[in-house]
Amino acid sequence: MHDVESRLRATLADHAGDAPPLAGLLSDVHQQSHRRRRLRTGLAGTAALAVAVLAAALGPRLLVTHDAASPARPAAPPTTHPPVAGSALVPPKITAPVFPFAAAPRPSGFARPTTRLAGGAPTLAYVSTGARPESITLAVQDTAPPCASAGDRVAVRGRTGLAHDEEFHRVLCWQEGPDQWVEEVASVSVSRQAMLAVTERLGQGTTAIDVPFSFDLLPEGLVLDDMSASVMSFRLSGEPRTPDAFIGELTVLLNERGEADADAKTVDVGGRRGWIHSEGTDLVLNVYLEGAVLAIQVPGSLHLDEADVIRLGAGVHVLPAAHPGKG
Amino acid sequence: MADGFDEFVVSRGHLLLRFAYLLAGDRHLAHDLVQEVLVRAHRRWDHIERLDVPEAYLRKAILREYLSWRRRRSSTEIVVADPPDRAAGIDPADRAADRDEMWSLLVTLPRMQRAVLVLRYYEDLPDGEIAGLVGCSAGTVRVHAFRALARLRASLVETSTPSEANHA
Repeated sequence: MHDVESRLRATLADHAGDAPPLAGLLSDVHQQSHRRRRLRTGLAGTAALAVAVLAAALGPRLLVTHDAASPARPAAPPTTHPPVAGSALVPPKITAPVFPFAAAPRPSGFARPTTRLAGGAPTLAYVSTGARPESITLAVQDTAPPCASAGDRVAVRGRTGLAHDEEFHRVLCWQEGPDQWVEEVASVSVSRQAMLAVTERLGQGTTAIDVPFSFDLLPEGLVLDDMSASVMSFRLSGEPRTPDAFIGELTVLLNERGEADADAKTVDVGGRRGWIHSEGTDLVLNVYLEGAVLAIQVPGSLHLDEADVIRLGAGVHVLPAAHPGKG
Repeated sequence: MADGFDEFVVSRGHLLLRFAYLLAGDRHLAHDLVQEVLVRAHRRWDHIERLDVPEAYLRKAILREYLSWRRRRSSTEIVVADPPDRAAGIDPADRAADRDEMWSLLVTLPRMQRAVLVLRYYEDLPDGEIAGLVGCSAGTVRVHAFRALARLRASLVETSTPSEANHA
């Protein structure tokens, strides 16, 4: 006992030195803080944005459908029924978002762009490959972002946009169509000319956002709010978007690893091993897959019991585009 | 407000990162944990700054963020993507895990057990104080610690003397 404790103490002291470096933390915090402030402001009154593309043939259990008929037009929220007590699980039909432009070729020194849905906004990001971390991110929404109220007038794609510089980044936004605004944010080390070059090379068409999961069953009344290679998160219809994602949402994510809570109960999830436990009014189900853990958080407001959550979990299918995340 | 906040992060941020890293066992996640807590603190820094020990407040926030499964978007997910210095190369934590058996075993512990061990053996906090931080009784803290240490001890015995373990 004593040996284990001594060794543990020494190990922790030793490894504390391997902690991530402080460099960059402050600027990351400022960037993120600013981003959220803008998001909080910009989200007021924003309706759900869903742009459709053609369906991929994923079978009857498909959650997300694609429709290419209206590639750049905002569509109605995929579902409009409010959640009810004891929500029934039904085969879902939810429209997947796409980034409503063909991606511009990557600028020199940047990696291939990545897409995701972030807080309801289709987003495309270029990240530098060099030692200096730089990024250019474009987000599309259907109402004017805060940056549209002031700034230098600049010509963007044959329109007039507004640009301004902040401490850690540059911002450019313009109205592309009647219900379509684009906000571009870049590291302050990226020139305004480079930002404009990206916008000018956005093409007609769409860029897909990879879908990581399909579902046999989901409660009614959910709206897809976040999607990336490791997560799909749904807010309840009628609930406002918030910059603090996943809180109070039905979230499914693929983790590199996971662990059972001390009070977790072992369950069979469609032939796979899982653990379920409650956190406040929420239920959390972890399903162990080969090399990853599928974690499903169900908010208490959906009023699903354990059996429902296990049924839901048994019907989650990890698609090839999925990539486990950390945490 | 900003000056005080910036000063705090520059002078104390490395300690928060160490604490988060020992909890999470992963450099990326530790960075995200600290960043998430600081972003929220930034908004309310006027209030937090007036506390006797803002650092203790932030450590507690990091701990709670770590213990909560209900994650938020990480910085690497919401703003852009991983800066290259995070995405490339071999994670020193991975190298450490390879060379240090105890560290590797710690990573396998349930989150609450690991948190209790870090608070007890790195922060040197008494069980009563740990109980207040993690939101349970001191008795439960002792149960978590007992189970965690038992698991570490058993694993160390297994790996050091496999033949004995096989016959046990």
